[in-house]
Amino acid sequence: MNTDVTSSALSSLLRALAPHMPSANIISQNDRMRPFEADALTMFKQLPLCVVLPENETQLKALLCACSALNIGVVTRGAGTGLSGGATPSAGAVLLVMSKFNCIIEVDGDNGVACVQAGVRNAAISEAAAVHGLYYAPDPSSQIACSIGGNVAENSGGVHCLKYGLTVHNVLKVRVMLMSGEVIELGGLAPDAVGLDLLPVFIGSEGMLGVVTTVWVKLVPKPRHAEVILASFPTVQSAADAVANVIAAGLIPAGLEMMDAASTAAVEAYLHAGYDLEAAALLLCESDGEPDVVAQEIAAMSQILREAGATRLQVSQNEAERLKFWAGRKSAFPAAARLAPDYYCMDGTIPRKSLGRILTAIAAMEQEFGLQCLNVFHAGDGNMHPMILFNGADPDEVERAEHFGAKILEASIALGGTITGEHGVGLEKIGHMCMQFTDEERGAMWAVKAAFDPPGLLNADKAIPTLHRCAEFGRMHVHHGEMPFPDLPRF
Amino acid sequence: MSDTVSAWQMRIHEAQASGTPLRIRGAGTKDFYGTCVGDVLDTRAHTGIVSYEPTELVVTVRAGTPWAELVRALDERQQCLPFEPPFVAQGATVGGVVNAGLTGAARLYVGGIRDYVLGAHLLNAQGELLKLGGQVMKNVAGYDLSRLLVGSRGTLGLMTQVSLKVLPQPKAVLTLRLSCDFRSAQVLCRRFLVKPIAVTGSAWLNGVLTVRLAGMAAAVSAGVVMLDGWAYECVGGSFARVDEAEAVAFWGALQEQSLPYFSARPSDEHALWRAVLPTAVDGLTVHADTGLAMWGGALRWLWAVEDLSMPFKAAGGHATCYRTPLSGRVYPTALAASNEQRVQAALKMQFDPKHIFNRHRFDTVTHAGHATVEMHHVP
Ligand SMILES: Cc1cc2nc3c(=O)[nH]c(=O)nc-3n(C[C@H](O)[C@H](O)[C@H](O)COP(=O)(O)OP(=O)(O)OC[C@H]3O[C@@H](n4cnc5c(N)ncnc54)[C@H](O)[C@@H]3O)c2cc1C
Ligand SMILES: Cc1cc2nc3c(=O)[nH]c(=O)nc-3n(C[C@H](O)[C@H](O)[C@H](O)COP(=O)(O)OP(=O)(O)OC[C@H]3O[C@@H](n4cnc5c(N)ncnc54)[C@H](O)[C@@H]3O)c2cc1C
Repeated sequence: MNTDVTSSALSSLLRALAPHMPSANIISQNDRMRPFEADALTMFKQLPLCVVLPENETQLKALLCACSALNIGVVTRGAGTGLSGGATPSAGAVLLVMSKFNCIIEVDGDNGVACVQAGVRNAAISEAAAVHGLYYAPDPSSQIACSIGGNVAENSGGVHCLKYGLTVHNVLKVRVMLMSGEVIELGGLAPDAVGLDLLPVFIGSEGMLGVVTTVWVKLVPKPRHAEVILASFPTVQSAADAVANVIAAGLIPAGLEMMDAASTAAVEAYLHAGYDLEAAALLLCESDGEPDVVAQEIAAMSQILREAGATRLQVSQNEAERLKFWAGRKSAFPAAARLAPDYYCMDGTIPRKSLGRILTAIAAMEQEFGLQCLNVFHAGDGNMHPMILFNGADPDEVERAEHFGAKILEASIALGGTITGEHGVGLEKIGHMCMQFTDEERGAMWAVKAAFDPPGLLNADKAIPTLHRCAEFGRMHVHHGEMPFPDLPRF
Repeated sequence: MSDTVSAWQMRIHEAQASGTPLRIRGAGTKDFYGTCVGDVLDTRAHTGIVSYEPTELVVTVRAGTPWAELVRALDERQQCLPFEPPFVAQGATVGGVVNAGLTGAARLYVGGIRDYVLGAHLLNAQGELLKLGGQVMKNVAGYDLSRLLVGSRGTLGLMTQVSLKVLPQPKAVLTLRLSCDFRSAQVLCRRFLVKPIAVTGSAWLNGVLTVRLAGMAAAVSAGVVMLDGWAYECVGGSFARVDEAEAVAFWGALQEQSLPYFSARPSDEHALWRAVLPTAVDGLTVHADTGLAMWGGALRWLWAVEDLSMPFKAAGGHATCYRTPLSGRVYPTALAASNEQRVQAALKMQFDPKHIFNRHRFDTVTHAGHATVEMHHVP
């Protein structure tokens, strides 16, 4: 972007905001903006026009109205833990940071509802609800840091979402400011929307439709008891079959995770969770609820796992042991990080029955690209996070890692799955959207965008690629990454 | 693409060219639910289960399939879609169930229809076939347009098939009854939301609260103990067990809206209202002693002469005139606040600029074709 144009846009914006907001809420010096130049996908970095941290809706409205009037783009950021570059700033656009919207407005223990501002951390909601014996169920691993506004934008989930659902199943209502400065409320505390139900389409829209200011979430009773089974399997396929058998028996575990031998080895070397190094695959299968019910479920699950060929089976005997069993799974990422200078964490979903096939395909790709890949799965819902190990200092390895990742996503689509199960499209997978959706399907998505944000100023270059952009991706794709005109800048 | 779908595409192209509206219709069980204009496009030829893998917890089914047929297939594998839509016995189709978005007694405890939708195929106003969402549990690629179709009453396009997440059937079910006034029932039912109890349905009808427990056997027995404790605290009474056949008949009649209450119109002037409130709203806005309430009081069915839309809106909810008075009077349906309405209208304009699909369907609830109130959604 032309620097003169940028600096004149910035000074017009600062002038427009001056009467509405203390200058301390605006950051425009490059060195002070550095901490905001990327979200948790640090591959993409960009300085914004400026960073604005409004404290309330009045200031937010002033910002959005000024940006609309000046035709300046806006990228919203919650806690910046996103893994797909959704909160990466855009050149020449404002980065709107919602962290000052951090008030828990109400926890209604009688009705199981909490009303919180968008910048409140996911885990803070459960902490505030604990006095009522309640909690907010969706539990992304980043929950101590990520904001509920970001969760709404990404439709985040966690280990427990097989049983308790994703954000979309647990948010009752959101208050949203549109780019025009108008406020709309989607959903409601009275079930069932009036007219078209816009809430589920807003959830997971990656900050492209409006800015969430307030969220009403459903709180549910905290389970009194939980136990987890740690089971070893001689082959990945037998573990996959065991998962199917548990479901076929009419049981929905509170968590159902799988790790392959490579992940298990990495984790054992890292923190000695007591995992079985002989196993080709490990399953963690949890039950939670009232103690009697848990006992009944654990007995039923144990029998099914044994019948499916489990070679070793341990049931956690107390809370400390349960947490120890989980610690290994939860440290899979840092453990992988010790094995190579870099790793590329993928995120796709496949129908569960194809688990064996995708793992075989990934093993073949390891040979093809000469890189190792560790596999951990939310096995209950087919969401996988292959971690491709590489050395970022070696451009050839970087390129091979990217191709490896793209090929896994292609395989996921071919098996009837999707390119992202929970991390979102953001900047990272915008090209892959062209693989999964037709022009017409993306057209329907742009139609939604146009209804909410007619000037297209919110997070405009993310998530839903334009026709033009897919055409470019298609060309790149045919050439298998040999980018045409590699010396020209890309955006 | 199947012949039926290609034939529908042709009809949509023709409708587009001539500007004639199309009225998408399944079994017609919800014909009363909104105004109808246009040539009928009957979905009932497009039937069958496309794929069903019980271990994936996903079923994909064509829109014209009777809901009852889907339920039978799930039954065979001890699975279910637990939200209890109405008019199944009358032949309601899958497309109609999803697009009408109506649910029964279990809704507050198991979630609404949209909590079960994973993906759908949609013929849009240009006759293009769009594959929205998918067939896997977790999918955040692009905007989730398939869930938007739930309750859209066919105004965004013709759904040709849908993928739904299914659940295992509960291992044990037990129904209990308690005589109590509405207020006590409401106080009691509120606990179901915030205590670990396996309730999957509640209904208060003329002084009797009926509650359904379902889940693992241990969860059901634990639930009975909890319920009795609360009943003693609230009204000094205790719950009675309902015999299984009677329970099945009761919940079935409630789901099908065939309980006498639904047809007991007090006079020609009375309309049946479907009113929904936040669970936090205390008391009954109207008719304290008679009536039918579900979802712990959040859903209320009321026969009334007056227009209930405003009082319920004022209380943070919404009320829709479900069956109009025989006298022919017409009430507008519940409306969202004006900013939301504007976005809804903009979305409809984007999807269907010529209003080919189900024109006026959202505008009024009317009887025997007497649509008089003008469109609210359409600019
Ligand atoms: C270690 C780690 C583990 C993770 N584990 C999981 C996991 O298990 N499951 C999972 O789903 N995700 C996981 N994530 C990803 C990430 O935490 C989630 O996507 C989270 O929801 C992002 O929230 P955030 O507040 O950090 O949002 P940001 O990263 O700041 O923003 C994410 C997107 O939301 C938009 N946005 C943020 N706030 C608002 C708002 N108020 N209004 C409108 N749009 C807004 C942004 O524009 C952007 O598109 C993990 C991330 C890390 C770093
Ligand atoms: C006063 C009145 C008079 C009527 N008179 C006649 C008449 O004389 N002749 C006649 O044939 N019809 C008549 N109808 C018809 C009817 O209301 C419409 O055809 C209606 O759109 C069809 O839905 P349904 O009630 O059959 O509901 P259902 O099949 O139960 O469907 C419920 C909703 O879902 C929509 N829907 C169903 N399947 C799909 C799908 N696959 N994709 C998208 N949306 C879908 C429906 O349009 C409807 O909005 C009348 C309706 C009213 C209110």
